[in-house]
Amino acid sequence: METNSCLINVKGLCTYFYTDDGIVKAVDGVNLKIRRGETLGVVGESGCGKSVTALSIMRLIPAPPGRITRGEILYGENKEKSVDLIRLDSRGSKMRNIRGGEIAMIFQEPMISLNPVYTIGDQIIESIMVHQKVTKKEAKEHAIKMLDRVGISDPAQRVDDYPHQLSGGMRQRAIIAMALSCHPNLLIADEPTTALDVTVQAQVLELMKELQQEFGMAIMMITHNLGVIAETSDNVAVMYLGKIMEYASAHDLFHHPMHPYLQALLKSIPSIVGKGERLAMIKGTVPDPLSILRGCLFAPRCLEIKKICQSEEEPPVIEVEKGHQVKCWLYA
Amino acid sequence: MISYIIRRILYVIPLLLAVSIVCFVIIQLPPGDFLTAIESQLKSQAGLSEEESRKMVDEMRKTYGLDKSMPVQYLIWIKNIVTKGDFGYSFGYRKPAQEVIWERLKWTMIIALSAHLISTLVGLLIGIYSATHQYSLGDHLSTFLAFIGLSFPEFFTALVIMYLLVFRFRVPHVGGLSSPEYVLATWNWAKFVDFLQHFWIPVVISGVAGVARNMRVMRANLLDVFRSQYVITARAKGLKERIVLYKHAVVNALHPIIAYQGVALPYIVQGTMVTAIVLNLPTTGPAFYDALVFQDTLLAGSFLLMVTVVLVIGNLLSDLILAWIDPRIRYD
Repeated sequence: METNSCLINVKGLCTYFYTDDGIVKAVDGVNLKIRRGETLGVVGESGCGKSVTALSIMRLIPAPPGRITRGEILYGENKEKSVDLIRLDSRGSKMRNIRGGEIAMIFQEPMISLNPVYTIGDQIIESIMVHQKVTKKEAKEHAIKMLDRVGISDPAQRVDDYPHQLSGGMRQRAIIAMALSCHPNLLIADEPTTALDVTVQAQVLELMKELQQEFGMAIMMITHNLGVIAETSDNVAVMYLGKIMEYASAHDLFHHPMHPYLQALLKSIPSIVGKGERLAMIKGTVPDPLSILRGCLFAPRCLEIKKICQSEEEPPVIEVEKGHQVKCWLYA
Repeated sequence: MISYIIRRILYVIPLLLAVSIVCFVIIQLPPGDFLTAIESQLKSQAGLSEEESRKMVDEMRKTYGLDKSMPVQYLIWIKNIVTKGDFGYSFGYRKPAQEVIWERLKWTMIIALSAHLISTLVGLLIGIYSATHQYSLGDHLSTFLAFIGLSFPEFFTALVIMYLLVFRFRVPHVGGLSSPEYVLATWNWAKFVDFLQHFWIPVVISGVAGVARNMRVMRANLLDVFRSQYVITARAKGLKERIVLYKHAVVNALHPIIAYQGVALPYIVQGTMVTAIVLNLPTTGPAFYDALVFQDTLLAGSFLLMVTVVLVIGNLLSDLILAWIDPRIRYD
C-alpha cells in the first residue's frame, strides 16, 4: 500500500478535549487509509471516537475545548500535491474549499441537520454556489437534478419545501443531495441511517452505493451497526476508546475476527437461526473517558485476559495477515 | 400567510372588548369618585353646608353620568369611544381624556421607541459578541455589566445620573425635555441641541435594562444554536464563518427577542413611570399615576385601555414577524 495511492491517509491522529474535569483522549493515535472509490467502515460503541475522527478530518473540532494534538491527515493521491489538513487554518479559504467541495459530510440526525428557516433548495444552492462558479439559476437546476437523482419525486416542487415538510427519509436524501452536489472525492457519513426506520435504512444505503459508483467517490462510513458495515464496506476499522483495535477487509473481519472485543461484539448480535439461547453480551461497561487507563484499554472487560494484558505496556499492532491488523497481546 | 394575518387580527377584537371591561371595572373598584373630593373641598374651602354641597355634587354627578350604574356607565364610555373616538372627560385636566393622552403619548412613544431600538440593537450585538467569544475577557465583562444593568432600579439610575450631571459636570438644567428658556421657543438648531441634551437621559435609563436583558437572552440562545446540528452542517458545507453566524445561527436565535418585542412596548411606556416622575418628563407615566391617585376615572381607564391596545398590537406584530422568519409557524 503506497502512500500516494491513498485519497486520505491519517497517521497517528490524536484529538484531545481539555475539559474542566480533565483531558478526554477522544482519538488517540488513529491510523486510517482510504483509497479512491473505496468504502472504509468505522465501527464502535458510542463515545469510541468515530465521530471525532471524522470531525478532525473536516477540521470541525470545536476549539476550545477540543484540539488536534498530534498526527497527520494527508489528503490527495499525488505525493507532491497532497496536503496535511492539520496544518491548514481551519477557517481559512483553503480548508473551506476542501470542506464541502472535496470532502463532504452527512450527519446522523436528518431531522435537525437542515436549517429549519430555509428551503432545502436554498440550502443545496448555497452549497453549490460556495464551491462552483455558477449563476443562481444554474445552481437551482443542478439542485433539482440532484434531488431527482437521490429519488425525491417531483423535485421541481420539492425544491421549495421547508425541511419540516419532508419525512425523515426524504430529509436524509435531501442531505445526501446537498453533500454530493459538488461531487466530492470523499463522503464522510456519520451514522447516516441510525435515525431512520429499517426499510428506509436499506433504501438509503442502496442509494449511497449507487451514487458511489456513479461519482467514483470514497466513503467513510461511520456506524455502530455491524450490519451496515457488512452491507457497505471494503475495509473496516474497529474502534474502542479512541484507538483502533482491529483493521481488516470486511471479508476477513467477519470471517476471522481476531480481537476479543470484536469477537464479543459479533456474538452479541441476535440471530434468527438457533432458538432460545441467551444473547451473549460484553461484561462491564465502557470506562469513563476521563479515567486514565494504561496498557490494553479493553483488558478490564476481556474474557481472554492474560497476565501481560494487565501490565502498563500498550499492546502492539500485529499484522496477522496482509491487511489484517489487530492490537492485542494474544497475537504477539 | 394572508389568512394567518386575518385570523390573528380577528382574534384581537373580542380580546380588546374583554380587556376594556376589566380596565373599567378595576378603575371603579376603589370607593368614592373624583367628586367626593370636590364635595369635601366645597365644604371646607367654599364654606357651604353639608346639604348644599351634596346637592351641588349630585347635580354634577348627573351632568357627567356618574349617578348611573357601572354597566351603563361602561356602555356609554365604550359607545362614545367606538362611535366618536371620545374617551370621556378628564376632571383633573378639565379637558377630554384623549387630548391629555395624545399630547403625552407622542413624547412617550418617541422616548420608548428610541430606548427600545437602541436596547435591542446594542443588546443583540453585545450578545453575539459574547457568544462568539465565550469565556473571553470581553464576554465576562459584558456579563458583569449586564448583571449590574439588570439589578439597578431605573429610578435610582436616574437619580445617580442627575446627581452626577448637576454636581460633577455642572450642567445648568436637568429633567424634563428642554431647558426653561427654550420651552416656549420655536424649533431651531439651538433648541434641538438642548432637546438632545435632555433626551438622552431617559433613553439611556430605559434602555440599559433592555440592553442587559437582550444581551443575556441572545448569548444563551446563540450558544444553544451553535451546538445544533444544522450549524455544523453549514460549516461542513465550507461556508465562511461570518455566513454561518449571521445566516444560519443568528436567525434561529432571534425568536425570544422578537417574542419579547410584543410585551416590551407597554412595559417601556408604563414601566418607566417612576423614572418619568423623577425626571419630570411630559410622558403618560406621571399623568397615569395622577389619574389613579385622584380617581380621574375616565382618564385612568383610557390610559389602561391605551396600554393594552399597544400590548395587543405589539404581540400581533411580533407574531407576524416570527411567522415571517420561521416557516414552521406559518403552517400551523
